[in-house]
Amino acid sequence: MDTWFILVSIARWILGSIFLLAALTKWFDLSSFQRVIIRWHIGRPEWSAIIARGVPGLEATIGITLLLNIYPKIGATFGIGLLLIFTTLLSARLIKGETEGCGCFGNSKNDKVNLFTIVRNLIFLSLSLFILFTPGETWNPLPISIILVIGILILAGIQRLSAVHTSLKRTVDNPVRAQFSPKSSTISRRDFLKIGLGALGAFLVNALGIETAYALSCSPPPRCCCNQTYSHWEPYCYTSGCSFPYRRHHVWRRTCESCYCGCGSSCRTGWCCCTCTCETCGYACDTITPNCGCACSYCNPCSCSDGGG
Amino acid sequence: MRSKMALFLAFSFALLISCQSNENGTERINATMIVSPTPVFLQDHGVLYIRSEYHQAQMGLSIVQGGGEFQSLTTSYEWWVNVDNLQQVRRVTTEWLEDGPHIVAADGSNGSNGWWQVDLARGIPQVVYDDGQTPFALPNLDAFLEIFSRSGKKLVEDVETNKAEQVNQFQQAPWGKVVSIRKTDPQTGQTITALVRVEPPNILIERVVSDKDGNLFETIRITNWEWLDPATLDLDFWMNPPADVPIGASHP
Repeated sequence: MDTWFILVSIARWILGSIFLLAALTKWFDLSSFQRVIIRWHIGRPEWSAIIARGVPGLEATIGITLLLNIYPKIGATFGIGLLLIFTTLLSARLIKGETEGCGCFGNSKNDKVNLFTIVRNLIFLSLSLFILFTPGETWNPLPISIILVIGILILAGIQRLSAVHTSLKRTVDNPVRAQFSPKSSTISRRDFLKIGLGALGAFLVNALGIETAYALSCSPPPRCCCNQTYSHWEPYCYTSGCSFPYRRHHVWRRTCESCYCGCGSSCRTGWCCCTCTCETCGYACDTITPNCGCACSYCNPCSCSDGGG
Repeated sequence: MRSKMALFLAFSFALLISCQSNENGTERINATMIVSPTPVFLQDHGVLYIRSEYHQAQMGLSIVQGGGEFQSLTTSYEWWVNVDNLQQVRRVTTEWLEDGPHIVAADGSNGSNGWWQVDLARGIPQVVYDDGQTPFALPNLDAFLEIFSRSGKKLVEDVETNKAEQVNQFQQAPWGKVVSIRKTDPQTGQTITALVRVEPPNILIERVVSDKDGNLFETIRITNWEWLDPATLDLDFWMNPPADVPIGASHP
């Protein structure tokens, strides 16, 4: 497998997980995030409720697109935009000397604004740019995405419990302040179930039918095509066209859609444009390269034509 | 009168049989009509004619059709080599499509001062003639036989080193003693069943490859190993491709 496949996939998983975690932790404690928006004077105060719901929604969408490899480059583009806004705002707060919780991952007390927060955002920005500008194909083994999403849901759930515990403690410590804080709008158990079922539905759609729909959406124009070559050796040395001791080597080409993992059916065109060369006889295998994001054995049959070669 | 009638009928019958052979046959079949009666593996004089059939059951792509999707495809390789003059050779590669045979590539030499070639894959769709000695000359007959024995030798070595299994051994003309060998490729999961001549040169007579699911992947088989009389083959034979098989998709 191409190294780029693995690197881009890892970058997608990291960034997707982070965006999804950020979205869920914000979502589970919307009131805290709303307070951050009011405190930071982002838009008018009456907009804070909309922004508090919109940002996690956008983050969740970016996270899902990156984790499930559905239009990952579009997800990465939105991620870059969001990260640039966050980094600018955080830098401005830091210059002013404000270090109170940034609300990046919900109501975590440890999430202070400091130089590390800026560096962290810049790393995420680099990952987004890497996903956006890497021309290589991506690899999407579904189990890994599922495990990551389930893991993030559990992590977000733990964080939520911790936040509830902190909030209760705060109420006990200072009942007056707690009374005047914005009304809690944490997500209920039913909402949590809805999110879980939604995520499960997305996986099923991805596994059962979205690939076909995605293939159809790929044409035209091609967005991320992969040019495969099929290398076939004639079974005998010294056949027509080649002098002794050379054998003919045919190389065929075709264009595949690497946007999703599909074998054969994902290919836009049939094999064509055969080029023929005479090469020294030897033990050689028929191969198809690259595998265009598909790890199945059909794409790399490696049938060795050693019948006389 | 009766004997004359019987002779006439016998002659007519013989002529009829002969005509039927010509209708179905190609130039190759006409040539094989002069094959020595007993199959011989090697001899000192004559023209050795070898025909091999290569069948790709799953991943064939036709050069004549210009590619397309993978399909089953049969390609035949033919060699005529004059063992008295190894400069005199003729080779033809033919694809067997639904509408019949199509030449993909061919070349030959008169053995002295002229040679020709046609090759679709290299953009030579019509026969091109050239003067001088052929670039396709063979160094010696052993080198030619090695083309057919290299992988057979490898399989025999695999049996000796227990990498392959000997299934059967029997006599078969013109090879003499032949051995049936079975081998599984651990990398691809393919199973190879081969028939190899026991005595050197270990000619690979047949090889059948099945994929890991047991489906036929490809076969290669020597269908003809014959000795022809060079006197019956004129210069036109050596200097032209078969006239009755189209070069490429259409007739020339």
